[in-house]
Amino acid sequence: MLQLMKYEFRKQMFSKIIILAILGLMEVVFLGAVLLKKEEVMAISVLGLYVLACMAAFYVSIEAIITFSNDLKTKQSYMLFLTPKSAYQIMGAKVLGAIIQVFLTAALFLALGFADVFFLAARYSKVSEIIDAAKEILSGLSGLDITLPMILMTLFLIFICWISTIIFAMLSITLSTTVLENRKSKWIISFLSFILINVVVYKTMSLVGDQVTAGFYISSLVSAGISAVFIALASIGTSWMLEKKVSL
Amino acid sequence: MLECKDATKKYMGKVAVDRMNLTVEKGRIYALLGPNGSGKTTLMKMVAGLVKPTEGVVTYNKIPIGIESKRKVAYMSTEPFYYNYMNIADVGKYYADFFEDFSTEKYAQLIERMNLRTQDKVKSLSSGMAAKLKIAATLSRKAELILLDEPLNGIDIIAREQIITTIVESANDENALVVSSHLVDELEKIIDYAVFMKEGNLVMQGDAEEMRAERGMSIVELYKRIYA
Amino acid sequence: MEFDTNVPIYFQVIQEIKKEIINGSRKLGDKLPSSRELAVLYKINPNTANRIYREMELSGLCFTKRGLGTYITEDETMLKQIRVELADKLMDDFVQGMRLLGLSREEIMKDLEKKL
Repeated sequence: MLQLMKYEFRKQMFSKIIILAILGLMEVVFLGAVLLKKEEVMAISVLGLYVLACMAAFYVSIEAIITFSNDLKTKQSYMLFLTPKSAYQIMGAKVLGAIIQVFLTAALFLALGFADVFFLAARYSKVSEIIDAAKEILSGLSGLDITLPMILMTLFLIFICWISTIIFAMLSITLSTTVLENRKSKWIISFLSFILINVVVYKTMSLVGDQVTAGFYISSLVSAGISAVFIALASIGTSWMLEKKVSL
Repeated sequence: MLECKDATKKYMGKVAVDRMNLTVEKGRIYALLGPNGSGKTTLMKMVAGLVKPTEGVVTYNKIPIGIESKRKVAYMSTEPFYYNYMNIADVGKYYADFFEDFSTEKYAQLIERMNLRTQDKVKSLSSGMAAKLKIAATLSRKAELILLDEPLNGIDIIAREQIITTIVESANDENALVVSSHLVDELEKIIDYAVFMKEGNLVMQGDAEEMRAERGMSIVELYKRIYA
Repeated sequence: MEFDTNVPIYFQVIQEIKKEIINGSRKLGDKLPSSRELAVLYKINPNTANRIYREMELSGLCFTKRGLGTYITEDETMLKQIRVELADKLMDDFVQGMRLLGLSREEIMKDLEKKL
């Protein structure tokens, strides 16, 4: 499976290099601006970094889905399905590959974001005052005392949700390919089944969520758990269809 | 080694391969003949494990097609299918990573003979070069069963000769080759056995030399007789 | 080499080898290529190549030295025999062709005299 994962990364490497290159460039501009105290350039580069972070997050997920689609719907599919590997291994490599890529992307941008804020705070003493003020406003609004574990838990939930979106898209694509070999309406069916799966998951979550009246951590863990179960089910279901039903 | 029993594939109610019964034994070169759309490709893909039969079974060494058979069967499709990022050297690395029977030395040899350059991008190859690359990669595997789908399609005479030579060289007593084509005359002299397909059905099969002797006509003429 | 699709391939290759023996490009006692090499050389089926050597051996045209390979016979009478056989075949084709054109025995003889 390691071999399969290696090629999952290899196939999607080019865009990652581009993102890294742009990120590096913007970071240099930002740090330079902070050092030279050029406020205007600083503002633009912060905005740029923020936009890049959003786009990268979006693109990493989209690319995982596009790659999956190409690996199923184009001649490129022979590359994977001629190898003596089971569909479970192939899907496993894809799921793990997506998780690692999303994790690394998120980790990189978060780490850089924190580092940049601290750097800024060190250079401008006013900034740290602003951060403190922001914290107070936030905890005032939510009525909660925002702590680091809480932020981490929220990030974890976003991460799980992100992964599940990718996996559900893979399931939808496989479903439409299996049910409708060679039909033109494949894309619409893919999309509709994607929506349907998400609705089902959301309904289940709110149903279970209503039963749980525990605190923030417990309910977060419960919804993360439900998502994880659905991710596992979707992965296994997709693999099963790939193994038994799909004709390339 | 290979056995198809009533192998059938339907696409949305349309029958691509209809109750195909076929046995492939080692030490032979088979021609799978028929015009476009006669089901040759679908049949080959079933053997390669890319298409699941709707009915019937396909077994390799008595085991249904799956991971085990994929280790031993090499399939070459008509269309190029390598990843866009790859150059010719990357294709070799990919095969070496996934197929134990792949020989890197043989690949290097064939690439050189076919006048290909290892640093060339797969995407930028002409159709003739792409065809030669596919043959080189597929035949660098010491596979027991080799399926070549239209290896001579859209290729100039020189490249054809190179490909035919490579195919003949790869045949031995321990393997079997199945070559599909609608250009029968190219295959006439290299095959042991001919299988004729029409609209998903097997219409005739037999030893090439025996067919020629019994009917007093070449496989090419027989082909014309069947499909005219 | 170009093949006539109406004549068995093994037969055509044997004829070709015989011609090579007569015109001297293969000598009596020479080693012949292995059947695999023969297959690649003429781009023919490897089993057909095996058959070619079997047939040639049966007719005494070649023999196998165990572990060494296949050799053309050293028997000089074979050479004459092949020549007669090939000439006979050419003559048959010639006469048949001329008859098909509707030429009489005398006309054929006259034409032949002129050519010679």
